[in-house]
Amino acid sequence: MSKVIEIKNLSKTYKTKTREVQALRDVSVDFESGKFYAIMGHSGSGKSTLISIIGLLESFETGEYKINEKDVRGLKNHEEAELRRDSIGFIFQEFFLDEHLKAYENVIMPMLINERIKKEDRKKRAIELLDLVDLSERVEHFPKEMSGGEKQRVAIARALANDPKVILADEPTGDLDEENEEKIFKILKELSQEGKCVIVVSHSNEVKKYADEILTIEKGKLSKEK
Amino acid sequence: MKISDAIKYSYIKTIRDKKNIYFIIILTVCLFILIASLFFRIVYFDLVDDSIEMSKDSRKLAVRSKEEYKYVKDKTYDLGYDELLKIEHVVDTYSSKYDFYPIISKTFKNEKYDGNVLLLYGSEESQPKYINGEKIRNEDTGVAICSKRFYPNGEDKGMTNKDIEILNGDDLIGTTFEIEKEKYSQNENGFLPDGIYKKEYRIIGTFDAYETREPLSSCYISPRDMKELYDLTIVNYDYVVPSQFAIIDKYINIEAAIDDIKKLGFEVLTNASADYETLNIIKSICLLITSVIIVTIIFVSSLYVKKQNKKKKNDIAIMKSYGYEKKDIIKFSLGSLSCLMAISFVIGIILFFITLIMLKIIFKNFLLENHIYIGIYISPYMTALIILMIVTIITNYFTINKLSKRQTLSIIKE
Repeated sequence: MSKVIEIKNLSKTYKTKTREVQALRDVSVDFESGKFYAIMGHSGSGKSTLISIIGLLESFETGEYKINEKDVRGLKNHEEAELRRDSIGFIFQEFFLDEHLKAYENVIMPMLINERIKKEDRKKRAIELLDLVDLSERVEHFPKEMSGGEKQRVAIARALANDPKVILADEPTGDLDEENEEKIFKILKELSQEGKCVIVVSHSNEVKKYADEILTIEKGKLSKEK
Repeated sequence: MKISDAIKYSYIKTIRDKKNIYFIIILTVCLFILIASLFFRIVYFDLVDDSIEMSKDSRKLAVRSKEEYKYVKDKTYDLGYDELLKIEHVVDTYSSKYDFYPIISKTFKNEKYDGNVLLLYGSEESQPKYINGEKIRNEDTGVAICSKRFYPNGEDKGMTNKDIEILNGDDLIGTTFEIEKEKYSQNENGFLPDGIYKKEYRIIGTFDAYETREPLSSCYISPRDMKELYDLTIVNYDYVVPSQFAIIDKYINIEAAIDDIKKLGFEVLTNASADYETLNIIKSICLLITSVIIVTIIFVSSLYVKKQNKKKKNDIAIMKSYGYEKKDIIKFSLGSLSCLMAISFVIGIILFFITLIMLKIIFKNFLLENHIYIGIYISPYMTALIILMIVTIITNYFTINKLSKRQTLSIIKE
């Protein structure tokens, strides 16, 4: 296991017209490959902010953040985009699948900007990924023909499209029942066991069964539980 | 991201989204009206411009000398019409009595046609601008240029008859036709019959009677032949002095020529210039319709893009999360709207063609009678396409550009 993400003294403040909110205060943490991390905390504690910063979707004011030993400070927009493409796979609570694209087409979407995956290999790879999440029979189906659990599995397959080292999941089971929640966490656990660094933000206590490390955020401050 | 991928996937998404049908319908209607307006403008102004430019009648001024009464008394009195040729822009002048001569030619008379041919004064300056074959020179004799859609029949009989058979004038080039008319000679007792005037004309060229707005039975002959035919076969005591025609080089010079003619002391009886006021009104109406349609297309497109906003925001956020840059997002988005525009454009053109063909069939006789020729014009379609492309780029670019700058998390959480 090696360090994939290194965060030191990271702080983030949201400024509105009337006030300032410090979402993260002096957060320091390292994430390693091959591990399943759970980040837990109450609503508004800063969990989603942290995961967005890790996913290079949010900026930060102070501190240091390295991913694959690359310091993200000073990166230009296209360099950030490249890093997201090559290193990070994102899973959201609401799936955000394109309802007009079939399952395999949704999985192909991230590959369109990856020149390393040849055009003729895209569909084959998409089907393999859907098979990985046990959806080989849903390859040609549209999202509206699937259950919530199946949609989230398509989203996981999509997140794996460019073979990222890091999987970030923001409340991936928020809209799912217990049975599907278990399925999703199992898949994420398997991915971590295959060497990926999996970071999951979740309210659900179920995640604790699968996590190698549990981190808690309270009022922007991070602490380790396990 | 390759453009081909952006087009492919945005096309797939666009086609599969059934709600886009409403947008396509509205846009198709707008495009149909736009193309129709542009097309009408071209056809109308082609018609007017052609008829003005190509028809000598549009460049022909009727002139009268204030001293006509002197000619009536003394037929040798010179009314001075030759002076007209000294005026800049006046390229020919002749007595109005030589303008045209209807006659029946036995060569063309048969069970299908009554043989009526309208002979027209054809000097080098007054014959049509575009001739297939040879032109008539002023000194020529025994030659004619006829309508390339030739119909040697009285118009009131033939033009509205569905079964009319129009001859291909180009096939008649090289052939001859003959005319016969009773000849008269004048002595102190008046005009007396003096045998038969016969003349054979060889067809050396053809012209488009639609463009020059002349009957399909028209044939131009040389000034020399026209004068000879008239002077020998028409009894004319000149109690009413025929006016003099002055042919102007271009219709835009008519006003200047009128001024100069008046300065010479002549009266100008007719103004052959086009009704500019009507032309300008029609131009303005066409421009107004086109502008309204363009604004409507912009408005409808903007509404569509805004309506798609919520979905677009999430799409953009997701695309950013898997590494799409702003330029990739814009390619994708442009692809979607371009798809809709392209579909609407194709449907609009097809509908327009069908409508045009139906109009040509239903109003065939009207178009024929009024010498209205509706050709194939590329520019309305190209103009409509260019307008569409500009609108697509403008309405899409600013919206997507604005959205793609926003932080992804804030978009998703909305």
